[in-house]
Amino acid sequence: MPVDEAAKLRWIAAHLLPEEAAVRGWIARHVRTLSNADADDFVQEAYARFWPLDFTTIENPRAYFYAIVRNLIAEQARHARIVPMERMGEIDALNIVSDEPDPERSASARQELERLQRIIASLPPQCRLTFELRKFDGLSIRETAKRLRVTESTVEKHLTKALARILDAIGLEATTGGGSRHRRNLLGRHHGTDDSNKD
Amino acid sequence: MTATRTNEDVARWVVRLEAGPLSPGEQRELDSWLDAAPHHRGALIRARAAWGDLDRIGALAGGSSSDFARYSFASSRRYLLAASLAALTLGGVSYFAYTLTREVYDTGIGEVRRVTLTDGSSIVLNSATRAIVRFRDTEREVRLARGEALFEVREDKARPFIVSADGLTVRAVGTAFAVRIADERVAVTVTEGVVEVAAAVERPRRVAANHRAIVTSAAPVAIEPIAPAIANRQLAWRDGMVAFDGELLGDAIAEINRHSRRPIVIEDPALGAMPIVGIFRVGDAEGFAKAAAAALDAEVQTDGDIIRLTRVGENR
Repeated sequence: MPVDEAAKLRWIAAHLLPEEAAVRGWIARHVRTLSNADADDFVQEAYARFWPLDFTTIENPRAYFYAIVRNLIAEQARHARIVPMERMGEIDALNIVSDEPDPERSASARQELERLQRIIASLPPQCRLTFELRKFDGLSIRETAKRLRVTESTVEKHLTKALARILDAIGLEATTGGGSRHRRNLLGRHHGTDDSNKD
Repeated sequence: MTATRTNEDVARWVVRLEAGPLSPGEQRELDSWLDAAPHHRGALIRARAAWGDLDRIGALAGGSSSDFARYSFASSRRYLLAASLAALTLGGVSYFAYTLTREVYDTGIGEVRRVTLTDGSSIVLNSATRAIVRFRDTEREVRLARGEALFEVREDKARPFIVSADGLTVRAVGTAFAVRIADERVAVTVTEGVVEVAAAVERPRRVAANHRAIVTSAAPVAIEPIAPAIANRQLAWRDGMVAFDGELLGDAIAEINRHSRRPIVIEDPALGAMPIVGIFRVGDAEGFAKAAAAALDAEVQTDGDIIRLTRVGENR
C-alpha cells in the first residue's frame, strides 16, 4: 500500500528524525560503555521497530522512541555473552527518562530550514548543484545529467554523497546559533532543558 | 566509521530505488544487504524519510519563514498536499512499496514474540526465529527462514496465505497452524482448518486439523494424526511456557536449551533417561534445572555460563 507507506515516511520525518540527535545524546550520557558505532546501530534499528506499528495509536512518539531504543539496548545485553557489569546498571537507569526534554516544542522552524541549508551549502559545488537541480528544481536524473553534461551515473553518485552527508548530520546535535545552552536537535528545533532558560 | 559507512550504502540504495525498477540481481543484492545487519532495514526507512522530507525543504526554500513554520506541522493540510505532490514527482514509488512491504521479524534466543499483520492475521514467533513477510495484492507470503512460528490466518479467499520454509510451501485460506524447522526437517502442525502442504516436486497434500505433516529432503511428506492435547502442549511456547509430560530429561533439556543462552548440561546418561513432568517458563533454564533437580534428586551447579545437573553424591 504505497499511500500508507508515504504517510508512514512522512510521520517518521515529522516525529522521529527531529528527535534523533537528542536520543543519541541521551544514550551517550547514560550508557558510557557503549561505543558510538553501537549506539548508532541501535538508533537505526529503532526505525525498523517503528515501521510495522500503527502510528495513529502512538500518542507520544518521542517517549516511544526512547523506549524502543532502551529495549534494544537491554535486549542486546540479555543476549550478549559478555556484558560489562556497569552497563547492566546503566541500562536499569535508562528505565527512567529523567532528562527527557520538555515536550513543548518552541517554534524554530526557521532554524530547521537554516540548518539544512547550511549542510547543503557545505557540499562540494558540483555535488550541491546536482542535488539542488534534482531536489529543489525537480529535474529528473536524466534531465539533471543533460543540464550538467555528465552521465546519469555521475548524477546518482553526487546525489548519494549529498544524502549520505545529510544522514550523517541528522545524528549530530547542532552546535551553531547564538551560544544558547538549549540542546538543539538536528533539524534545529530546540528544547529548553535547563532551568536557566524558561520560555 | 560505521555510521558514515552505513549512510553511504543506504544513500546509494535510496537514490537507486528512486531512479527506477531494480533488476532481479539488484533486488537480490538489496535483500541481502537488508538482511546483513539488524540495523540496515531501519537505516533504509530513516534515509527514505529524510530524503522525502528534503522535497518539503526544497519546496519551501524560497518561501518566507512564516510559511515554513506553518508547513512544519505534520497534520496541516498544506503539508500533506506538499508531501503528496512531492511523492507524485518521485519515480519508482511503487518500487519503494515493493521493497518495504517486506517486513523481517526476528526473535533472539529465549524470546517469544507475537506480531499482528496488516490483514489481521497473526504470527507468534518462537525462540531464535526469523520470518520475512511480504504481502501483495494477490497473495500473502511469509518465508520462515529459521525456527518455529505459529500462524493464525484471517480468512481472505482472494489472497491465499502462503508460508514457505526450506523449499516447502504451506497454503492456507483461514486457519491456524505451526511450522517448525529443526534437525533438517520441517514439521507442519495444523490446529484449526485445513492447509495444503507442497514439498519441492510432490503434489500438494491436504493436512487437516489435528494432523501433522513431516517433511524431510529424503522421504515423501508423511502425515500423521496428533491429539489436540499433545499439539497444545507442543505449542505451549506461544504462551511463554514449555510443557513436558513424561519426556526424557535429556530431550526436555534439549528443548529448554533451544530457548536459553545458558545451556543445561548433564553428563550422566542415566539421569538423562529419567522422565520429567511439568510446565516451565520459556527461557528460564535455571528455574527448570532447579525443578528437575528437586524432582529427580539431583543438584545444580553453575559453572560460568553453563548450568550442570548432577546426581547427588556424584563426583565429577
